[in-house]
Amino acid sequence: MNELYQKRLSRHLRQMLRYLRLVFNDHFVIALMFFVGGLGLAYSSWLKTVTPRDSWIVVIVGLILWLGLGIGRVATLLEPADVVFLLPREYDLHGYLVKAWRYSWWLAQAVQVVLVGLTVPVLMLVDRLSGLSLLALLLTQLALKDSQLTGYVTRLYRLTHSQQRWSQLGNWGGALFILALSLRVSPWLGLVLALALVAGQRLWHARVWPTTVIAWRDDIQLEANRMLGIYRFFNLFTDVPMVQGTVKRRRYLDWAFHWVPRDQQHAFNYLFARGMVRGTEFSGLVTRLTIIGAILLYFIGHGWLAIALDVIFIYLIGFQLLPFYKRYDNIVFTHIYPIDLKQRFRNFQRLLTIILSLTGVVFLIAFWLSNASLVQVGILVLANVIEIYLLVAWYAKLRLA
Amino acid sequence: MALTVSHLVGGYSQIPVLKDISFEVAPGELVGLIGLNGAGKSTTINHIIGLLTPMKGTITLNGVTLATDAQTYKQQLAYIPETPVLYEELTLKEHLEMTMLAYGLDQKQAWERAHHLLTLFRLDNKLDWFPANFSKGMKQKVMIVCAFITNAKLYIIDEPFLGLDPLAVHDLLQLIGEVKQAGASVLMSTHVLDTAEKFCDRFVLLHSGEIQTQGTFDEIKANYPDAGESLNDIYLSLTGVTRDE
Repeated sequence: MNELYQKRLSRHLRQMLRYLRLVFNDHFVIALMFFVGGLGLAYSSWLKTVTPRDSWIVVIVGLILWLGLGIGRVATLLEPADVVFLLPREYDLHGYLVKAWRYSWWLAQAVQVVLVGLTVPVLMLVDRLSGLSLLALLLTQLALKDSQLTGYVTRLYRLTHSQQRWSQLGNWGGALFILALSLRVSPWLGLVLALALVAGQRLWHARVWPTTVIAWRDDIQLEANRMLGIYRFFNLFTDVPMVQGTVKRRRYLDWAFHWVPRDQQHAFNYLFARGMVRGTEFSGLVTRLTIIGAILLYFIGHGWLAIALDVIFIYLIGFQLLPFYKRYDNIVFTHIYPIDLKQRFRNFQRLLTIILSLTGVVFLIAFWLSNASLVQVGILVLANVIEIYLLVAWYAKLRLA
Repeated sequence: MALTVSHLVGGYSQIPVLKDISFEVAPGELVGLIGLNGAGKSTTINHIIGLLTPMKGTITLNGVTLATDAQTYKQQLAYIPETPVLYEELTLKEHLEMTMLAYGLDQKQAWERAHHLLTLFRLDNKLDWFPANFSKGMKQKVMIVCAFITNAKLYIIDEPFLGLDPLAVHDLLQLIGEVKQAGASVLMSTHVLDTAEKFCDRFVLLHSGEIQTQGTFDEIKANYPDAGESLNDIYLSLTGVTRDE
């Protein structure tokens, strides 16, 4: 059983690594650097405006820490077939689950350390906490996450409904109470209570597991959902076969199709427009990057950095939209319709122009709202027009036609 | 002749699947393309609809080939695939509109015909649905409706009888009869030999990439008097596949 978890874990890690490599490709790293830099800049300039009188901020910090406890679950790596093959060895599964708990513990606690670390500057400014108290707070947070994870494993066994509910409620309610105590009364008192919670969770777990059966179906479903969440995340950046792009009807956007002329010359525009709006894959990509880009432009404000950012984001969107042209290649009718290839490509260029122009306009508004001078707004308009023209008329042709 | 396939050699890779195939389909004629799995029926069809390019030989449709005038060639052709293929993001109504736009049909006329066909195949209350979620038979009906609103001169139908309910098979055969009356040609591949025997005007029997024989049922029977009474028997004995021994 111990070997089984090791084997599954290494397979799981290999798979995650493969996706991470795909996610952190060159383009994304550049965008991410800008993003983190922009956020850091905004955070540090915001810190300068914070004074000890803003005590409401402590409440916010407490809530962030509390909600942050939800990050990180136990990777049980259970599979649907386990209910058949591992059922005879149910008693041994406890050792397997302990291993799963241990692996997930390190990962989850690393996230908690980062989370507490991010709140430290605020707490030092507002609450004037000493170094030792901050350490106590960090340990409290880690202890709370520890008991969360223990509770997670206990709930993998078949508890009654009320036991399930009380386990969840006790953990989350207790955590909220303890965090409030730590931040408003005494970090040390909070730490003592948190450690008591840890001990309580362990005692309960030790009493439950030897006499309770495992809730196989629920656990497998839980693990499948957890993996789906991870795949969805990766799917934001790359194609994950486990997550198929879905189609949504989006009736409320039907008005947007009235712009497409209805004749043989624009038949593929008819298809492309609907495919783009209703398929979640490409429309999601455009929306996400446009929103992130607009927020960054707003915060970074005027100047050459912002203009460079605008150019990079439009390129990122345009370049990632190119595969959409091939989306219907495996449908035989795409080739049988009496419309030549050049016409189909012109239709695609038209779509690309419209989408990138919309993005450009959104960026322009964000840029303008951040108090850029008129000259700079003018430069941005010019830059966008030239870039979109080059992308559509030259780069797309180079890559696709 | 509407469709003329002459000395066609072709296939998916370097190795030809089809070895020197020649046959014709006249206007107003239903020709059955008969053969076992892997005999080359789909390959022949893929060449005619233009998914594959011939290595040797030509395919002419009313005087034009894909190489000389692809637009005119494709405009005359409608295709019903064996496995229904649909655009996931289009509703049934939009599939029809897409077809009308792509073939440059007159919307009003085409919709009249479409409504008639939709009612015939009991799809008229599903116009706003995504056909991608339909059952296989219903998807096939969508393919049929899309093909039969095009006013094509040549209909290529790949194995239409599997997956359709008996009523739909009956209606499809009637539709084929209607377009034949109007002067269109139909090339249909199938395994369902007794239906083919009843409805096809002529047959092209394919076996391992070659034409075994072709002609009307009576001609074939006259040529192979010992082969048997039904198309089934004749076909089995011609291919050398005998199961009774």
